[in-house]
Amino acid sequence: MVNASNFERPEDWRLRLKGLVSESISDKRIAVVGCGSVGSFMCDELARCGITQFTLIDPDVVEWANLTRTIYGHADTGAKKVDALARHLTSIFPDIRIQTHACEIQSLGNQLEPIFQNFDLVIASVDDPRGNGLLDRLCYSLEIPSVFVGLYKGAKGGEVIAVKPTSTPCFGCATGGTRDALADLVNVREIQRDRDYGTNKLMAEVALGSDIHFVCNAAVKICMSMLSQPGDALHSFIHSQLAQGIHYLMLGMEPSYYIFPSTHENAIGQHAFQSLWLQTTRREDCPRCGDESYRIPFNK
Amino acid sequence: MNRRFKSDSDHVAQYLPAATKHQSIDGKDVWIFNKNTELGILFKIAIYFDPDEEPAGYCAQLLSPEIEDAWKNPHVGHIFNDGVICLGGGSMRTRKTLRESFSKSCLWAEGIAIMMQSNLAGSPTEFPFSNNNDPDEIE
Repeated sequence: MVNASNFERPEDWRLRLKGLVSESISDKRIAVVGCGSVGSFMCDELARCGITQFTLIDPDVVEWANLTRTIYGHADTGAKKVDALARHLTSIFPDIRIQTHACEIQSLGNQLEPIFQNFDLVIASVDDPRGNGLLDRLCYSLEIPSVFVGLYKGAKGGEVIAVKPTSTPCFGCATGGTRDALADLVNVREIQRDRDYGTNKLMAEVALGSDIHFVCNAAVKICMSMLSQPGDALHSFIHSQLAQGIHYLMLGMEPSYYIFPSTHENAIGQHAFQSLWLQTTRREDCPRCGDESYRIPFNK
Repeated sequence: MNRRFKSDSDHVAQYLPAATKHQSIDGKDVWIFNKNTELGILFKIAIYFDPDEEPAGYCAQLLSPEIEDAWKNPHVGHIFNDGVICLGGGSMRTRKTLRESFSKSCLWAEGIAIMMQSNLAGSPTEFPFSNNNDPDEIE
């Protein structure tokens, strides 16, 4: 039986990644908060790209309805998502090291800072707006790069926001500011997912896995670029954008969707699968990334 | 001095009841005021800025009186089970300004007071201000 102690990757396992990212990618530690259709798929891809150290956080169990767009199988139903995902990742490469927390991010309380302080990247793929808010302030405060992945109503569109503390605005400023800026052009409410009025979490939506994973794939490439070293072929992909303060990727998977008819009206050959990269600004009074006199550091 | 505390203090002095008290709880600046409703039921409500709500903003939390457990549900009493009052709009738990949070929470108190009084009188009514949840309301 293969297990972590007797498993050694053959030298040629990286043949099809050579030059894209250096081998040091295996030293990177990432946290994935939310292991559903976005988080589980991204972990699978990142593991195949050479990430070997994961911390997985999610309170839920695998349900049959999850099988249509996650990496989980029938034998995983009823299991904690973090445990099922850990099994899946080690089935790809047994030497992958995984820590799991089968709970909501908010419930980690005083453990948050010690758990998070050594991550190289945090992926936020939660269905709870308050979880996103907490992660945003935590990561900005600890200066940990983060990637927020979100789907719009029915996964007809989605967004990936790469946050590099001090270089870019936080997730809250990016999304809030963009919604405000677009309000005169489009009805932002048309794309926003409904919240459960009882829990205030985002409701699960009927959507194709392929649409969800279209956004995930973009997010994986952004993550890999953020984790790469100068000199790696992937490095400039996101860093050239971040250097200009461009860190918000908006994607449309349906024709004539949302803002795209306005932004792409003179481009030939347009249909579904369109993208727009946005530069955002921080609010002076933001408690996460604003002026120091308004910031509320995580340890306060 | 934290600039938010300074601007909040100014807004409290200008718009909230004169007897509003400040407390620092778990690092948060909390503003506690009494709201006496038209039906004579006195409410104690706390307003604070929560940086972890998305979007970050001002929450209003009921301190007293105790309300029926069955009403601690946004569908019924327009209040979350942690005591945070549903303030409508897109985020439901927050408002962008302290003043908005204050005025919305006063409106909520008038509504829940009607539920309480009608319940006491033996002819319970629903929460009366359904436009609090108008899906077209722009935050």
